[in-house]
Amino acid sequence: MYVYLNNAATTKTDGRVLFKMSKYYSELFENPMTSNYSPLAKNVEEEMENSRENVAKLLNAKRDEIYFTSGGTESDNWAIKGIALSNWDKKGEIISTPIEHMAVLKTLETVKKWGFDIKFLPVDKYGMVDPDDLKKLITKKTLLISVMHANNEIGTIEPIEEIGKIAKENGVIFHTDSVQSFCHIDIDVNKMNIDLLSISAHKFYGPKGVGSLYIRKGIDISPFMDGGHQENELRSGTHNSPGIIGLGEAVKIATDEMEEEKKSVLFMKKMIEDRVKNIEGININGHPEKRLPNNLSLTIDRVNAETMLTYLAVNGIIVSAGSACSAKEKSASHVLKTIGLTDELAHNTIRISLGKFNLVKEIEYFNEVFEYGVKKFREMAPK
Amino acid sequence: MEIYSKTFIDHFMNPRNVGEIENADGIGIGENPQKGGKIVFYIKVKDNKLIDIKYKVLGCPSAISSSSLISEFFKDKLIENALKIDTNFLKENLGNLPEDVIECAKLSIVAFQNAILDYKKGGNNGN
Repeated sequence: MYVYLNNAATTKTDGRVLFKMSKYYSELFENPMTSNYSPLAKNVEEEMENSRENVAKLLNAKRDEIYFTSGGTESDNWAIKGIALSNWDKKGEIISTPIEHMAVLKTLETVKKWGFDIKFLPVDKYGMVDPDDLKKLITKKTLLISVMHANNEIGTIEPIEEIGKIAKENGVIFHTDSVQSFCHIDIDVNKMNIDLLSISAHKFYGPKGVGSLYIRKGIDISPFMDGGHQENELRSGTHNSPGIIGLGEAVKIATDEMEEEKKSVLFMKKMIEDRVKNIEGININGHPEKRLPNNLSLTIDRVNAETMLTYLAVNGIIVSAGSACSAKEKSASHVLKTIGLTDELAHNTIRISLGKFNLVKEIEYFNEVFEYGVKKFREMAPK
Repeated sequence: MEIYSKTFIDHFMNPRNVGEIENADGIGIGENPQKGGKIVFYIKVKDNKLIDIKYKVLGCPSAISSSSLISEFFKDKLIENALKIDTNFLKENLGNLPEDVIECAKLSIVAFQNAILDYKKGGNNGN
């Protein structure tokens, strides 16, 4: 058996998405920007616009508020740098959290060098932001707030509706990195007062290398990618038309099947939680209720994460670790560190992220192998 | 598992000589608190030979594989040879490993050699 439990890292592209995309590499390969004289290109353009519509619908946004990018990282970069560039002369403050994805954190580092002030909201032991802290932190100089919808490592879902309300009351732009949440839980950009929102196709069974930035009409944002006239002059670069069309198809599928997926992953997650409950010394990280349905971050006493990962992999099971042990990243995960885990405990943390392709029998297998592994490696540990 | 050789995986999945020795002649510890790695080696010596080697290990795969390898390789060997080994010994026997993996594996050499040094000092680590 090969059991893939690392869907937070990336997902398998749905066969229906692949099928839809393929002719946009072969017969319908033309550049959609030539649609005014090429009928085949017009077909591509129309299909791309359908994708745009699909994304807008699922967000409760308008079609022309959806822009296509190369993925979540670019969308995050654009949201923050684009607002900074539009406010180059007056500079100002940006408020974010210490548990954002590195695509946001590294972008904030760059924007700090440009002369903007970066302030961080505290998070509690679950990685949750308290909206009251935001009220205290906002000043007249605050330009932008960037708080992720749901955290990729520990699954905690942030109170973005409250954050959006506070941002709106104070005339501050609100960006949310929804890479882990879009197509898995509900998002309404109007109800939640979101101005900018990042998504990435390969997190919801779409292709890699394509994503979106939602930009509320009226927001003054500078382009991040300079060059051509694509995307209303705001995001240059020949459209990744097969990718965009694939993204749109994946969104359409999620619109129909998201509830089913939620039920399925919750059921399977509970199977793991119930087994884990009966093993001493295992702690679940992140908020107990307000968390992504598919995410399970486990800190296992007396068992090294790399060891558990390798052991599971040899048995055909793929999960991920809470911290990297490679020469490139010798430190523990910044998210785990922020919520209070010691370096040691961070190195004992694994992340299981389920997906719609997982089966109950795979979880039964995981439970057996995992429990045996915990026992095996604990027996080997010194007292 | 391309980065790990068959030998490495074998030692990792089926580690030899795991355990403790009561009344050990030498006990040595290798520890990396930041990474949560800890290895304890126990040895029994007779006529300058390592007649029994056991260890307990908490750490990454290379800490386990290297401990297992050392315990198997040096069983019944002369104690003097054990003090000469370094990471090249691990690379030769476990396959060419990336630098960061070697760093983790070093801990087993430290613990093993500490056990020998403990024995030479009269074996007081057991008390």
